[in-house]
Amino acid sequence: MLGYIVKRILAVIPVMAIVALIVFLILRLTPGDPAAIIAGDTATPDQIASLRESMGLNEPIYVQFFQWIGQLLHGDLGTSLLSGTSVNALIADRIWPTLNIALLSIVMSVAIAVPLGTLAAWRHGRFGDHVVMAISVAGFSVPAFVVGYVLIKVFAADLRWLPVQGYRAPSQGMGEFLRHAILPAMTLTAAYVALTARMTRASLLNVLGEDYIRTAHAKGVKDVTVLLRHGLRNAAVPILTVVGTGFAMLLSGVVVVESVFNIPGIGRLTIDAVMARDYPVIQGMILLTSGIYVLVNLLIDIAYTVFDPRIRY
Amino acid sequence: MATRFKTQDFDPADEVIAIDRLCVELGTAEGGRRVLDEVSLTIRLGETACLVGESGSGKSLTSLAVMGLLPANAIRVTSGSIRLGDTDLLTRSAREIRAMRGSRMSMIFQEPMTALNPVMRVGHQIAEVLEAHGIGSTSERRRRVLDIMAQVHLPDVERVYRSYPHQLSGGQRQRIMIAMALILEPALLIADEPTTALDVTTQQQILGLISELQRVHGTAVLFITHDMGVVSEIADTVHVMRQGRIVESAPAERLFRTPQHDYTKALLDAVPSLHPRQPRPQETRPPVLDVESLGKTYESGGFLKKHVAKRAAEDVTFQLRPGRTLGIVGESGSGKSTVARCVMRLIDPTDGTIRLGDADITRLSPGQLRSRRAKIQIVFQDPYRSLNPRRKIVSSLIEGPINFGLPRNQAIERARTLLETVGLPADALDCYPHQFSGGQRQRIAIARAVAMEPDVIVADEAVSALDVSVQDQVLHLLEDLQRDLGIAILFITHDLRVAAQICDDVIVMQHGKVVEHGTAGDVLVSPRHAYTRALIEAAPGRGWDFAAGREIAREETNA
Amino acid sequence: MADVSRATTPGGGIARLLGLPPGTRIGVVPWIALAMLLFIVLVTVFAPLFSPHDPIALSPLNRLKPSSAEFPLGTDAYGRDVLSRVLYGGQVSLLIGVATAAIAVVAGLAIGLVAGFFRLADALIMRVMDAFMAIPPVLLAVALVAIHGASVSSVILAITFSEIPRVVRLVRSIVLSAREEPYVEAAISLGTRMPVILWRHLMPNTLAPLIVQATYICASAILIEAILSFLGLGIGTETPSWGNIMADGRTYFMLKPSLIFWPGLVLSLCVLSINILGDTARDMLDPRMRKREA
Repeated sequence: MLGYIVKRILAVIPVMAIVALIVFLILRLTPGDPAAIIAGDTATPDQIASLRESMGLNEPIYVQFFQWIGQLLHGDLGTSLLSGTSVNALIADRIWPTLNIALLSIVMSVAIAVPLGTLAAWRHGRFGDHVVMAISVAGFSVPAFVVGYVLIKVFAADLRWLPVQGYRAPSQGMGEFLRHAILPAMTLTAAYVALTARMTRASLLNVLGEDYIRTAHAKGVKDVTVLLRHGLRNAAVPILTVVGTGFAMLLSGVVVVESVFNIPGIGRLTIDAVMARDYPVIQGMILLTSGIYVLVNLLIDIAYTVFDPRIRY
Repeated sequence: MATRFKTQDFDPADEVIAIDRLCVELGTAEGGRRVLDEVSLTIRLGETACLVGESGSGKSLTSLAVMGLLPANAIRVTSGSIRLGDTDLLTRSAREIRAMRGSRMSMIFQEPMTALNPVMRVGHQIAEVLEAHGIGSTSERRRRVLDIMAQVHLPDVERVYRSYPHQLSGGQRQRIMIAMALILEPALLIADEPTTALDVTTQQQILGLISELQRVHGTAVLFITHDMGVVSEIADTVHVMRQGRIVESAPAERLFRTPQHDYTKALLDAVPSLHPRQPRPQETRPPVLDVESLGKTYESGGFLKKHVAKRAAEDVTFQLRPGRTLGIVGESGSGKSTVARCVMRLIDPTDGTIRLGDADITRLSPGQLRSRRAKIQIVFQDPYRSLNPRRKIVSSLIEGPINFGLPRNQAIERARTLLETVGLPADALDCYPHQFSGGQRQRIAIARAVAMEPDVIVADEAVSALDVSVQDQVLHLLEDLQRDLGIAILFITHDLRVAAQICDDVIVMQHGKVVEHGTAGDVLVSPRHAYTRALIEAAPGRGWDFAAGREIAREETNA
Repeated sequence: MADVSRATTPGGGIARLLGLPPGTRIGVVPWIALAMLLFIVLVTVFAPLFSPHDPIALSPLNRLKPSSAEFPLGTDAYGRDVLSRVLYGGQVSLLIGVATAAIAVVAGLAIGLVAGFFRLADALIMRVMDAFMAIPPVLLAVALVAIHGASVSSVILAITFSEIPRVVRLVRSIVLSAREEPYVEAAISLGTRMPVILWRHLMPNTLAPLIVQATYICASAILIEAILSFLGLGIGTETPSWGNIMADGRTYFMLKPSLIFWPGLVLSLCVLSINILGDTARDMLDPRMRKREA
């Protein structure tokens, strides 16, 4: 058990190292001079040269990589070219809105998707199943920002129940936080619910074909009990897996949703950095989001052992 | 030992279950294919009725119909009645049937691994029967579960109660299933091939356990099996099924001594005798396969984990001469398949040498090995997976010869001839595997092996997945090919009856080691090693000659 | 001797190739989806025939006009006809969807086959794939496009990068399970060379699942293109795409929501049909369905 967890944790290291390499290469393998790109069209050759010097671009590429890795290992993501403040500080400033809304979305998604998927598997091939599958395939097919604008139009512009945009921290009052966060969270939820409900249904259908389900029926156990006690628990591992991999989708969605709802989170920070070609910030953001993704999936791997006693290595 | 059939007279006993002219059709609409046709049978208190037949005969459907477990959207009962005691099951609501499952009738299944919920402690799974029927408080349920677990002779019940299925052995898991089925003392127990997935020694214990509990509780048992040996050990009454009908019903002894229906006779005829066939003259030509001190050790572990070496096979030595058949017998995990796969170099042995003809192939690289591959071919167990489903039969048959440089048209010609040799029409060449039955696919797999003109064929449980009548045909085919072509066969099997019929020499393996090696006559008739003796004693129906319909004479068994 | 006559009838060409059971039934919804998709593809491919106006001609006099006979879906902030832009925009969106799916599947198949069959390469390839999976797709695309500039090809490339790992994982898992099949071991015993085994016995198993996967990638690429454009990182508006039409509509959203809703609706219907077709294909190929048929 402990060995399994330690093994999982150690497996994170090579993945994050390769992520760092990819992030580094995205910038350095650009055709042309990164300094010239960063400095922009109006820069003089002198400005470019001094930028080259300050970015350490005159060193051999592998030296640059290891210098950068050395920085990262000290927890230093670099300095923003635009504002001159450290990337760490920028992130610390902006991460909470994002995390709060992402967390709210996950809780909402799982709370909606698992019952929906269970219902679909239960009514397999019948009306309820078709309705759930229709909803989920639709949730998959509409771009997040369109969902966001429809919600704004209906609940904010027409009904005037909720604010159009903006963000309040939970510390400013839970009610206000929810009033502002509910539409962004619903926007993020659409695709996540679709994904999770589909997997819940598929995984449950798989399990319901197993011999031990027949055994449970042969014991005289009630159908509902068979579904929930024997079915759902055995179906849990694939559902958890998709909740984990879907997290990458959620992080992508954050960028869009913060833009639509004007939320000062790391998604907006990223887009602003991209617009300003603020490369250290872009690098930092990719590393951060990948790190969060890897961490979430690590936790999910560990959670497997709760659901399936056979996972012990 | 003489065979003792059960001879109890059940006429005065009460009927527990009466199935009367039960018809079942596929599909939900009128006019689906009829899969059960006027099936009638009754079982009385304390009686064991065996339902025998080959795959697809409708045995399992009958049992599921009784339990009300037929998939509602695919199969329906069209006429007939099923009475359990004085309740007509087919007229009852789903809720009423559910209440009877587990309490008045219960069922155990073939595969105890998949039939138990893998993520639930087995004690809770048994206790769930009580819970589902609203019986007892939590502590009382626990007490009753521990009690029934002791009755099915599980060791250390407190620990087993808390175990998950994967922590138990196959036999223990089946004991859990039995405990689950019998905890409420149902009037009827249905056992659907409950020992088929188990090793023969475990099978013997489970059969004994079912009989013991049946005596104690007076349960009526409907026992479904394809194995005539098992039938002869446990049946009071036998019902023979074929294509959805019961073709013959009779008390066990009468059925085995004087079978009436042709199909019953054919089934009994096909059961291989445990008595070895006549020995063939000694072969003096040099061996085509010479294996010396073969070993295979799996290493696992390493970083952060205990280093574990598992010896799958150890110090295996044998020689196989042209035209001879060497059997390797043993239970699951004995290492017999490891030996086969090492000899084929599908896995790499860790010790010893393998000589094929005059060449040492133990350490050849895949490239060097390729040119030697023609000399040794393999036939696998599962006929449904051993042919590529996407390729026509002809492609499978010519693949090897073309690899060895035979022109395509000649290879096709050879394939055509071979198909006839193995008893299939030549136009089968242009068909796909799914168009053939299991037995036919196994013939095609044999043709594919023979097409390479090998010196040795490794048959890895090659007839184990087949019904006995088909098994009999395929064994004869192998024998004919061996006679005509002089091929040597390395025959891997768990079935002593099959080994007795085809092998000249036999190796018995246990835990990766050879425990006995000799001629079939020596090993199977006068075994020296205790394990071999245990294996033979556990073989069901060993005292009975099924084809002849009589006991095997004492002098024969000891000859 | 039932053993010597053949059991069932021969199966058809495509069905056999995909390993489908004979007599697989398809409901009415997939046909509607197919019709809808074909319709969308036809009107976009032949956009010049159906467009009432030039999609990029500016017409300041006609700014933000509502729907009318002349402008069925109204006009945008520059007076361009929204219907014409949506029709032409489909060309770029569909091109990006199809090209991404094709490149990702071909590249993923090649890498996946190698990973599945060569143990040494496997560990390295899979770590790299894990790393690519860890980077959220939109962020990766955003970063690539930000650096390489937005063009149709760079957008395709950027999206492809995050789709490849899923294809690789799929192909690899199929190869890993198929190489344990006895018919593959039989081929080894027959002296067939490894590359031939890979091509002849393992690759065909990946075909059907890859077709399904390709539909999902196509759908997802169309969505990501829209998101990139929406964030202001897509292709310039002189080449209309469904994404950048909506991006243009952002500023005037409160005034005229239809600038986002019409292209959004067409895009969603297109992606929806592709997804439905993918689901249908997947259900037909589901081994559980096949078991039921047997």
